[in-house]
Formats: sequence, C-alpha cells, structure tokens
Amino acid sequence: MKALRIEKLTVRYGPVTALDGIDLSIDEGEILAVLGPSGSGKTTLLNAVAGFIDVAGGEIWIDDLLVASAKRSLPIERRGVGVVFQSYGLWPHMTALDTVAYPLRRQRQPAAKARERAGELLARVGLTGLEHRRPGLLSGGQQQRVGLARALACHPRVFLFDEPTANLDSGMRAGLQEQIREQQQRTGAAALYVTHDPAEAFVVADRVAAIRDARLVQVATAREIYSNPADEWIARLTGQCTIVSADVLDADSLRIGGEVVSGVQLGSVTTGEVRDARVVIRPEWVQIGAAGELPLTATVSAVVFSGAFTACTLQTSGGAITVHIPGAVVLEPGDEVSWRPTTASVLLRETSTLAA
Amino acid sequence: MVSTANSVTEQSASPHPTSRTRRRVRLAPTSRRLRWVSLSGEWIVVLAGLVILVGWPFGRLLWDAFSTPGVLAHLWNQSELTQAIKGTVVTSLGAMVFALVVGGGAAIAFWRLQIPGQKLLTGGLLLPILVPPFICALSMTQTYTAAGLTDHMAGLHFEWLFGATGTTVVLGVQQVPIAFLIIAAAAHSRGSADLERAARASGANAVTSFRTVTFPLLRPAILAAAALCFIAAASDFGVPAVLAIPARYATITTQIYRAMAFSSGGLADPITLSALLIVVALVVLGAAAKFNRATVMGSRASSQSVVRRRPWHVAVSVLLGLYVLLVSIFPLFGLATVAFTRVYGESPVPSHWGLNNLRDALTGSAAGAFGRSLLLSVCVASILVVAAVLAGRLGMHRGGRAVGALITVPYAVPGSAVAVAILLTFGKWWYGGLLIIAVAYLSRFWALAQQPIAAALGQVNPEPARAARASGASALRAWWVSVWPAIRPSIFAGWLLVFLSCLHELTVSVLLYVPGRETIGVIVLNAEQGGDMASTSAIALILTIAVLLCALPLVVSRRLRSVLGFSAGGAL
Repeated sequence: MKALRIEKLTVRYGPVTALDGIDLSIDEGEILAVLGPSGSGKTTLLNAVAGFIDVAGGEIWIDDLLVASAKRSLPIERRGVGVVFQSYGLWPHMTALDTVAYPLRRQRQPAAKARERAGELLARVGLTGLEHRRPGLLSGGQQQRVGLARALACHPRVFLFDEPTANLDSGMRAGLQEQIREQQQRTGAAALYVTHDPAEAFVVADRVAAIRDARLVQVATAREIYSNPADEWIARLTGQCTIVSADVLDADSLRIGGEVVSGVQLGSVTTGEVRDARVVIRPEWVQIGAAGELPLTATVSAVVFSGAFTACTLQTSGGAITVHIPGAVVLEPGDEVSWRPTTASVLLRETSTLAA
Repeated sequence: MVSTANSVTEQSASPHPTSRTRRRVRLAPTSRRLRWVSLSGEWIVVLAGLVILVGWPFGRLLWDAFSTPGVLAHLWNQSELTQAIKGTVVTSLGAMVFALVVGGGAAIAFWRLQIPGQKLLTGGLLLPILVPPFICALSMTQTYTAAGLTDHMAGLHFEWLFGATGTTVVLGVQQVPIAFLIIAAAAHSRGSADLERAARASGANAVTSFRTVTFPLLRPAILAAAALCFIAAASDFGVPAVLAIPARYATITTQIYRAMAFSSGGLADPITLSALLIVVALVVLGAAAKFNRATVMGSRASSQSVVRRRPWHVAVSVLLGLYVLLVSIFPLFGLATVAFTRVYGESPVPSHWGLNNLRDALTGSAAGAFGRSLLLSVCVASILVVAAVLAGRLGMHRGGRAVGALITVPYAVPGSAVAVAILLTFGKWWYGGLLIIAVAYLSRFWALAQQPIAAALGQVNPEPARAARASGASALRAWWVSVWPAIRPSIFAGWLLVFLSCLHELTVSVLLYVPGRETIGVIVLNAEQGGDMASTSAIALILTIAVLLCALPLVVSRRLRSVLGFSAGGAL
C-alpha cells in the first residue's frame, strides 16, 4: 500500500510557484530521497507534507487519509508524521529524555511509562548516559540523534527528514545516515528524505526523486538515476561526469571523434543508430591503457592524486574527459595513452524539456 | 576516543613535550606589557571619569545612607515615607502588569499570528519612547480631564487620571515599549519556527505547543521585562509629578522632590530614599540580567509563522490600533489643540485658534531654557561619545567588563538618585550652575553612548586593520581606515540618544536647577504646577516636535533602529 501519495501538488509563495504539479508516492518501508539544489523546492515539498505550509492545489494522502488539498488542511499533529529537522529543532529548555518523552506524553501515555519508553529509544540511538542533558551540552551529532529518537517516538506513518546531516561534519554524517536507515527499516514506515547531496541520497534511499525549479524531473532507483540520468542536468546533479558527443552505432558500439569502440555497456537505448547523441561518461566508467592497447587514443593533460584515486584529464578526439583511476598512477601530462568507456549512458532528452 | 588517542601520540611523538607551553610563558609578559603601555593613557582617563561620575558620588551616597545605624527603622517610622514607598510599589507593580499585558501580548501576537498592519502598529506601540514621560502625562490630562479635548467635544472627562489609577496607567503606557522590545527580541532569537513545528509534529495542538514549548522559552525574557518595567516605573518622576502630586498621592521620587524643593530638612530623607531605590534597582536588575542571560540559544532557522490568518487576528489589530490612538496619537492632538487655542479654557474651534501661545513660549523665559538645554545636550553628548570610544577600547581587555558594568549603574538606577548623589558630592562647589547638571547628565547617560559604541567596537573585524598595518599604515591611519567607518553609525546613534535624553530630561535637572537657570523640562513642569496650561502645552508641543524630528534618523534608519531598544531596555 502507498503510505504517502502526492497528486498534482502545487504550492505558491505569493507570485512564486514553489512546487508545480508534483506526482509522487512512497510505499510502506520505503525511503525516497528528494534530491535537488537549494531553491529547487525540495524542502517546500517536505513542509507541505508535514503541514507547515498550505498547498494551492493537488492532494496529499497519508495512508487512506487526505491530509492536504487546496480546501482542506489537516492540523500538523493529526497527520502522523515524524519530522527530523536540519537544525535539529530541539527545545532548549528540555533534556533529551523529556524531549523524546514529549510525543509519548501527547499520545496520553502516563509520565512514568513515557519516560521509560523514551529511555529505551535514546538507548536505541546510542545516547545512554546523556538522557539528562539539554541540547546546549550535546554535540551536533548527538542532538540530531535526539531528534531522530523523538521522531521515532511519534510512531509516524511517514518520516520526514529535512537535510538531517547538513549541519554535521563528514565523520558524523555517515554514522547518522546508517542509523536513520536502520531505525526506519525497523519501524517499517515510509520516509521522505530531503537532501542536496547525491552520495547521501544513494546511501540512504531506495529511490531518488530529482527536483528542479519546482518540478520533479526524474524518479528512479539510486542505480538507475546514476547510470541512466534522463538529461544533462540530472547527470551533473547525481555525480561527476563528462558529456561527449558521439554516434551510437548499435547496442554496444560508439563512434567518438571518428574512432569506433565496441563492447560498451550502454544504458537504455538499444534500437538502431543515433547520430550526434550526447553521451554521459562517469569518471570511473573508463578503462585506460598504454598507447595502442585500447581502441581510442588520447593525450594526458592533467594528473591530480586524491588518495583513493587519481583524477586524470584526457584530451580525446571527442573532447576533454575526466577519468578516475584507483590508487596512484605513473602518468604525466603529455603522455600518449589509449582508453575505452566500459559503460556509457545516452541522454534521452534536452535539459530544457522538463516533462516529468 | 579518537581525539584522546591523537593527543597521546602527539605528546609521545614530540621530542620536547613542554616546548610549546614554555614558549608561550616566555612571550606573554612582553606582549602584555606592550599592550599595557599603549592603553595606560586611556585607562587613566576612563578610570578618572568612572571615579568622578560613578564611584565617588554613589559610594558617598550609599555610605551616608547606611553608615548611620537605624536608617531603615527611621524610614519605616515616618508615615510620610512609608506612604511614598507604598505608592511607588503599588503604581509600579500596576504599570508592570499593564506593560506586560499590552507590550508582551502584542509582541507574542505579532510573532505568532498574522496581524495585519504589524509594522505600523509596532511604530505606534514604540511611540512612547520618543515622548518624554512628563509630556505624555501632560498630554493625557490636556485631553481627557476637565476642560480637556474630550470634555469640550463630548462632555467626557476622566478625573481618575489624577491619583493612583492614572499614574499607574500612564506609567504602564510608558513601559509598554520595554516589554514589547524585550519579549519580541527573545521571541525572534529563541523561538525558531522549527521548535514549534517539532512540537506540532510530535502531536501537540496549537495550545499545547504554546504552553509546553513557546511560553517556557519566553519565560526568562518575560521575567526580565517585568523587572525592567517595574524599576523603570519606580524610577519615573515626570508621570507622578503631573498626575500624583495634584491628588496628594506620593511616590518615592515625588517625595524626594518635595523634600528637596520645599522642606528645609536637609538631604537626610532624600539620601535614604535614593539609597533604597539604588539598592532595589541594582538587585532586581542584576537578577533580571542573570535570568535573561541564563537561557539558551535557539537554532537559527526560518521564523515564518506556522499559523494562518484568522478573522480574529484583524480584531486584535483593530484593538491595538485603538490603543495607540487613545494613548499616543489623540493625547498629542489634545496637547496641540490647547497650544493653538488663544485663550485657555475656550473650546478648540478654528475661530479660537492662534499662535500667541507658541510665540510667547519661544520668546519668554522658555527661550533661554531651550538654549541651556541645547547647550547641555550637545556638550554632554559630544563628551560621552569620546568617553565611550575610550572605554569601549578597554572593554576588549581585562577589567573591561567591570568598567562596562560600572558605567551602566547610573543609567540603571533612578535619575532622582543620581541627582541626589551628585548634589551630595559636588554640591558644595558647583551648586547653582549648569556644570552640576552637566556632571549629573554625564554620569547618568554614559551608558546610553557606551552600549551601541562598545557593541560596534566589539564587532569590528580585526583583519582589515591588520591588513592596513601590514601594508605600511601607521596605527592611527589603520584605525581611521578600517575601524572608524565600521563604528561611525553607532557613534552617531549614541550621540543622538544622549542628545535626545538630555534635551527632554526632567528628573535630574528638577533637583539640581536654581531659579533663572532652568532646563526646558523644568520650565514645562513649573508652568504646569503654576497652572499656566496654555504655555505649558505650547512649550511641551515644541519640545515634543523637536525630539521627534531629532529622533527621526533613529526610527528611519534600520541600522540605527536597534539602538532604540537599548534606550528603552535600560540596564539589560
């Protein structure tokens, strides 16, 4: 069953259309990441589901309950959502235990029972021993785990995560992502996860919805959207890539700058020949070899060692492309090499056409 | 755990584990001495100013009050004094409640609800800051009591304005801006919308989330506002002078005035009452400052309201508009009609209008008083901005906090107490001239200049000055290029605040003037007490217009507006 269903949702701030005809649904137990740059409308989408803002058109359903439409707006507290905020949203005058007990008290649980349950939830997110601290005495990561425990205590039908890791440093981030995923799986509730970080979206979510200028532009699994982005904008949003112009000859052959390479794993297009296609090549989709070893030729123009990989820029007959080679390499600018893409994705549409 | 491991390896890896600390120890005395030398001139000036303007007079006053045993017993045994104390407590508590309900209520309503016309209403609610208390009281009597505007127009007059009730209400009107500003500031800094959203998402309805989240967050600010309103009301002289004295209702400040102006009993009673006011003010404000500071930060998130506009929000707006109209706009109008009516007591119809009162006000003894007040205001404001820059530079070093706290004392305590302390200390040399009033003003208003200027100095980014020095500029030139532009608006704001406060000052000067050397505030009060309502109103109107015009930059410029909050907020 669809835990969250959004149909033709439109939100306006005065003359500005913040969301324009959004259609989206999330299954029970599924996490959907909404990925977009700032100002794209992703937080607005979350606010509309939570009930923090009114909608101008369309409908939002949670389970079989209509929670928002142009005419109807169910109060926030009756929507069955659990929200985790970007800047934590912790009440400065309450201890961690009181904070987590708060939703339980609102469910009319007796104080003693609520506190006991809150203690269990805090233990579940690894905060045993910090129950009696106020937010001022907790680190950012600890504060956000209190926020997570509070959302868990709400017993929501839909979790709403509003860039929960944006204010944390990278070390904390991975731990919290893992925890969010694990706790959400335990509850079996649906989750909407707003983020601007593609890596985070891929780690956390089952599906990713790319949002741009108030519209959804692609909704797909993490793998699908990474290996087959619908347009150039999505390709760049979801990770590093080079886009070259090439002719698609058949299901696994490309002609780049006059040179032909076959055995390329191509994404969706398989029918016939496409001239002047725009092809996405991710840095790790390229194989590189000594001159003459592989079908395509190139000259190395820059080499930057970055630890886990070395980033090389190759001047090829189809233009400059960026390649990531695991570990350190012995290449230098000016070296003649050969290369081939192992995988490539043909862009199906222009970025300007935004049909969702 | 990781960090512990790191520090251990760092220490064991370093061949000289203590070399770092040792170097710091060796360097420190030199640099501190250098700083000391360059600042010692400023220290001497500032410390001398503090001793003359704060330490000596207030030390002397408190010593005189409490060195003789049985002072408090004496206080309680004289029914006159206990009546005055009771009067102050009753009217100030009443005013405090009034201000919290109106000002705090409006602040919370503006922040939580969608009140139409918020900006305009805010301006209206803050208007009393710009109108001197005694003129506010005066305009109320000219409008709402017998022979006032409402009497002429509708036969309505409200004689309860004279006495305890009227004093309480008008004191309350005067304190509304304080309550509004403090609670609004707290609401905006602490109450991020996310906190309330989190409560709602946790299952709380609007009422519960206000009760369990919003109100507890605002409680410290509400307590602080209550303390400030109480002390400000207890310190006020102008309102009870106009409204309580005619009804023979006494407060501490009017009692001090009576004892000094009309009785030959010496300074004994004023000293005791002043000391009492000082102690109460400092204790209450100290506690309030602690309350307000002890609270925690809120996250800095969007502050858009959660609530949608409802029809009753318009009703709140109308009610507040009516309030502003009744207590600020209409009384000023009433004052103007009296000033423009040729003969006092005639109904204010166009055929009775004339400019004779205003002409008399500008040519008679009031003209000299205007000149004296202007001279005092310009001199005091100019001296104090220099003092504030000097003291502000010290504020960044050790002992700076203590300096800042001492500077605040004369502004936090009642003006009457400042006047008594200055008179007690310097009266035997300077009584009878403008100098003693100037010294009292310097003492009382230093904090007004200090706060914006010290705040600006504290926020100056040191990098541009360092860059200027590194590019070859001298210390003075570097200061001129990088610090001066950053603090210039605050210096202007501080100057203007002191200037305005001196211009309409009454409480201090009424205790220190001699006949023939009145300030403009004293002229208004004396004319009022002499029953000359026409010229009282005319002078008061001119003074109010002058103050409003001078205050315009403070209200219009967004950068300067924040300073207004301090002038109302007093010691906090």
